[in-house]
Amino acid sequence: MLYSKGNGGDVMKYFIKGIFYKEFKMAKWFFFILTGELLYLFNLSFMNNIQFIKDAVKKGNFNYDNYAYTFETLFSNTDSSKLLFIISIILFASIMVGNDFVNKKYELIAALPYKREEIIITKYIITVIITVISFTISFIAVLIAYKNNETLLSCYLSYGFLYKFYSVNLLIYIFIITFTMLIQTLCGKNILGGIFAGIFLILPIGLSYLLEEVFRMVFFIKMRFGNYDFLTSIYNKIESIAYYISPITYGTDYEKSLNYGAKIIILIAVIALLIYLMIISFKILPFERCGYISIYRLGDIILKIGISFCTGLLAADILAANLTNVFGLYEIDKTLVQQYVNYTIFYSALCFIGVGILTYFITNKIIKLSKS
Amino acid sequence: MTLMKVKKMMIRGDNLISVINANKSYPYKKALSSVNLEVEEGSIFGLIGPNGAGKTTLIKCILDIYKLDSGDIKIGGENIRNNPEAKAQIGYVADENKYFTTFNIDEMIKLYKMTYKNFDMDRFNELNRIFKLPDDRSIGRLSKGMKMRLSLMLNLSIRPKILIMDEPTSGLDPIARKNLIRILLDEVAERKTTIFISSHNLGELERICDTVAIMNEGEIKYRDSLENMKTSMKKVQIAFKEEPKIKIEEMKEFRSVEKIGRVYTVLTKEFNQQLISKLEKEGMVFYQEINLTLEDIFMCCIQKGTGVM
Repeated sequence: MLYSKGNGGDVMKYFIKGIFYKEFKMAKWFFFILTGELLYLFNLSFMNNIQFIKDAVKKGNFNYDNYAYTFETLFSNTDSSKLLFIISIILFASIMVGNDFVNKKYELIAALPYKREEIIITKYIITVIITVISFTISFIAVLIAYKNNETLLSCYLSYGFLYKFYSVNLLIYIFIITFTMLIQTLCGKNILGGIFAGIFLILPIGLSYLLEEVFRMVFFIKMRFGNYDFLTSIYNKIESIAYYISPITYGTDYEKSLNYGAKIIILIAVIALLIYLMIISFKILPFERCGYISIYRLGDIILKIGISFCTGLLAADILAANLTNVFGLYEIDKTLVQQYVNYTIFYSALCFIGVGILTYFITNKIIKLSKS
Repeated sequence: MTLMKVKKMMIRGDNLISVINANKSYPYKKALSSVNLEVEEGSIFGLIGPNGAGKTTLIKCILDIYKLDSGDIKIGGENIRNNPEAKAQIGYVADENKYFTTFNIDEMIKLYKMTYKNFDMDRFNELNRIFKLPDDRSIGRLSKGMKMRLSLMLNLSIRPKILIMDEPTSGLDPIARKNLIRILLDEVAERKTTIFISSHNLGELERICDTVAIMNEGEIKYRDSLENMKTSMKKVQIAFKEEPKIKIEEMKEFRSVEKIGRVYTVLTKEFNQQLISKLEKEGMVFYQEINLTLEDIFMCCIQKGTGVM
C-alpha cells in the first residue's frame, strides 16, 4: 500500500500520496508535449545548423568568418521555439493549478485529508520535474551533438557555455512556472490567470518601450534638432533596469543583462521568494472566490489601475505615432514644429486620460460581473 | 433492521461536530450568521432549509472547503482548519459530485485508497453488489445518479467516523434511495457513524434523523430532536359550527394556522384544557390531534420567519 502515515518534512512524502497520483495522472501528458516540442523545434534546428556547417566543410568552402552567423544563431535563432516553449509551460503551470478551479473540482480536493501546502507543493514539484526532465533530455541531445562535432564547434562553443545555457534557461523556466502558479493562486480564472502571468512576465520591458515612446514625444525637438546623447543614455538606463528586473530575459545575451553568476543568484533568490509566496497564497486561498477575476480586493485595485494605465499609455502612443505622421513632424522646420509637438502631446495626453478612464470603468464592470 | 431497533441500539457519545459562532459572508450576501450547532457522535442529524438558506455553505465550512470569516468548527474537539487528521475521519457526498472527468472508476478507487488508510475494498465490493456500478467506466460518462452511487460507495468504504451528505438522494432511483437509507441505518447501528444530512426530502429525513435543524437566511432557526419536536408541538384540526368571532389566525397560542371553510389546522405548543375551553366558547364543535410531520414544522418555522418555536 502506498499510503503514507507520517507527516515528516522530507520531500519524499509528496511522492507517495493520492494527491501525487491525481496530479501526475494529468501532468504526464505535458511531459510528451514539452519534450516533443523541444526536440522538434529546438534540437532539430540545432542539428540542421550543425549539418549546414558540416556540409560546407565537406564541400571545402567553409570559412569561419562567413559562417560566424550560423554559429551565433545555434542558440539564439531558437527564440521562436523558446517563446513557444515558454507559452507551453505557462499553459502547463496554469492548468496544474487552475484546472481544479474549473467546474468547482477544488471541492473534492479541499475535502480530501491533505494540507493546503501539500496540495500546492505536489502540483509544483510535478510541474517542475516534468519541465526539468523535458529540458534535460533536449540538452542531453545537444551535448551528444556537440560531442560528435566537438572539433568543428569548439572554436565557437565550449562545454562551459553549454552548461551556462542549460542552467540559466532551466532556472528561467522554473521561475516562469513558479510565477505563473503564484498568479494562478491570486486569479480565480484559469485562462485569464495564464494571460496575466504572461503579461506580468514581460511587463517591465513592455512598459519601458511605452515610456520610451512618451520620452521621444516629450523631448521630440531636442532629439530631432539637438544633441540627444544624454536623453538616449537616460532611456538606455530605463531599458537596462527593465531587463534587470525581468528574469525572463536572462537567457538571451542582451548586453544590458547581467553576468552569469549574478543571473543564477537572482533567479534562485526570486524563485525561492515566489515559492514562499505561492504556498502562503494557496494556503489562505478562499476557494469560494474561484471564478472571480481577482481573488483579493487588492488585486482588483491593481488590475483596474494597471490595465487602465497601460491601455491609456498604449492608446496615447499609437495616437502620437499617427499624429507625428499626420503633422509631418519629421519634415517641417524648427519654427513650426514646436506648435505641432504641443498639439500632439496635448491630444495624446487627452487620449491617455480618456482611454484610461474608459478602461477603468470597463475593467471595474467586468470584475464586478465575475463576482455576481 | 427496523428504525426503532436501530435508534434503540444507538448509544450517543460526545459532540463530534461543533460549530461555534460561525460567520461567513460572500461579497453580496451574508451566508452564515452566528451559527452554533452541535452534533452528537452516533446520531443522524438532518439540516433543512429553503434554497439559499446557507446549508451548503455550512457543510463546506465544516469540511474546510470554505474558510469562516469568524468562529470555529471542531471535529472531535480539534479545529478542522487545514487539519488532515480530522478530515480523514470525514466522508463527503456532495450534491453534485465534481469528480475528475478524465478518471475512470478504478482510478478514483486508487485515489481514495492512496488517500485514506482505512479504505476497505471489501466494503466497496459489498456496496457494489447493491449499487451495481458499471465496470471501469470513465467518470465523464457516468450519469448523475451513477456518480452519486460512486460517491456514496467511495465515502462509505473509507469507514468514516462522520459522513456528511448534501442532497444524497438526488439523482437516485427509488430502489437506490431505499437501499441507501438501509445502509445508513446499518452504518449508525454497527459502526456508530455520525451522519449529517442536508436534504429537501423531508419525508426521508423524518424517517431516519434523530435531530433536525432548520436553517433560513444563514441562521439556525430551530434545532431539536424529532422526538422532542413531536412531543412539544401538536397539530390539531378544529372545526367550528359558525365562523368564530375571534380571529383564529391571530391567536398567540397558534404557531401556524391553515383554514379550509370553517375547519382550521393549527400547530400549537399549548393545546391544553384551557385552550380547548376557550375555543369551545367560540363555537368549536370538533377537534382532533393529527400526525405532525417534519414538513409541518419546517413550513411553520420558515413561514413564521422568526424561527421562534
